[in-house]
Amino acid sequence: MNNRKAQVYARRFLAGGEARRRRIRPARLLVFAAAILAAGAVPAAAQKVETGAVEPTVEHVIGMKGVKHGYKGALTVQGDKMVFAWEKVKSSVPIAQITDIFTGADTQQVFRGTAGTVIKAGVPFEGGRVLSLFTQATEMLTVEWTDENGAFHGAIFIFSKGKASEAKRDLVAAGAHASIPPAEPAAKGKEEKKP
Amino acid sequence: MRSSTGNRYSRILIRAALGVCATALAGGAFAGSAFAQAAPAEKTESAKKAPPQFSASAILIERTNTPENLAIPDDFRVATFEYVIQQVNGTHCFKTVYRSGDHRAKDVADLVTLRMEAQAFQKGSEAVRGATTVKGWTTLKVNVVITDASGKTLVEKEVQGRVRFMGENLNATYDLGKKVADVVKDNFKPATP
Repeated sequence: MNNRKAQVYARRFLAGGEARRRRIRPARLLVFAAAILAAGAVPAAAQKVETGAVEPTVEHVIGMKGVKHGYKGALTVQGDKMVFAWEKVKSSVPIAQITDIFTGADTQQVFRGTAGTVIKAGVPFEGGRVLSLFTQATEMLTVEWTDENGAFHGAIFIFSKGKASEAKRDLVAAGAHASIPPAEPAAKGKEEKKP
Repeated sequence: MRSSTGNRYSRILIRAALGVCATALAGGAFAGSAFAQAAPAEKTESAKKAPPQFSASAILIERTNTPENLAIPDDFRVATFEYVIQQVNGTHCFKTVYRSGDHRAKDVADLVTLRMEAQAFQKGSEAVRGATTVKGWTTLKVNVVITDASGKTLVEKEVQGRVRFMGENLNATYDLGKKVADVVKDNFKPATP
């Protein structure tokens, strides 16, 4: 009797499992679609966080004191200082101490970071590799300066294409030194060449 | 008859493939791959390492020297310097880590100086890495030299930073910074508080 009961429960369990598996399939698809939508919505949401003239469109790589790698903020010229700030984080460098500024082109994956990796991993049949081919052009801004002790510092920022040259123009106009003069706005897209 | 011959051949092929895999694993054929990271041979090697023999209260880290024939982008050059500073700071082998050009370093009697000379650089592609896994690697190789106050070379080693699977190209400089810090940690005793 007990044996029969066990068999019945086992059958029900297996049947339930099958049903659950069937139910999960569309759910997985929904989760995948939601993840893609969320990834697209993240930068848009980040831009709406703060009211004001500037948006956190600049990504910090390394170099600014007290700012973590990958932190997004705004790079502005405030008086005699270059300021990288957003929300509670603020770091500045006196423009008079800047010894050189460089810009360079690069590319970045559209599906990047933790969310991007999860999305790529979720695509069946290794299809995530195809998503790796979706890239966007970026521009790097490298700022070098020496502090009051003569120590060398450098900071790197990632801008969307064309914006780093604008930032360089602003900094040079504010009095920062650059061995390579910033490109004119009309000559957009042309790479700088060292003399 | 045909099917039994086919089965025999497939069995032989499977055995041969298994044999090749076993030999390759034993011989460390995957030395350059991710499998090598947990290889027992490497563990025993690190266990045999001699204890650090040098000590100093401060280190001066000079900017990366780049030969003219090697085109390293400015962001890589600066990122290498900054990551090396960050990672060497994390070793706690020195009370003070001075940056290149810091005039306060002149007053330190037992100062050691770390210099890096770029040897090779290959800029890969994040997209190609993501799509193929085996192509598009970014590598940066530098020669690290640590000298004492008199200019005598204490440590000299080639270090390679690379990004092979995921991440931006600049992550190669982070990897390089970590490896340079490992060289420092292997050769210098922790600073006494």
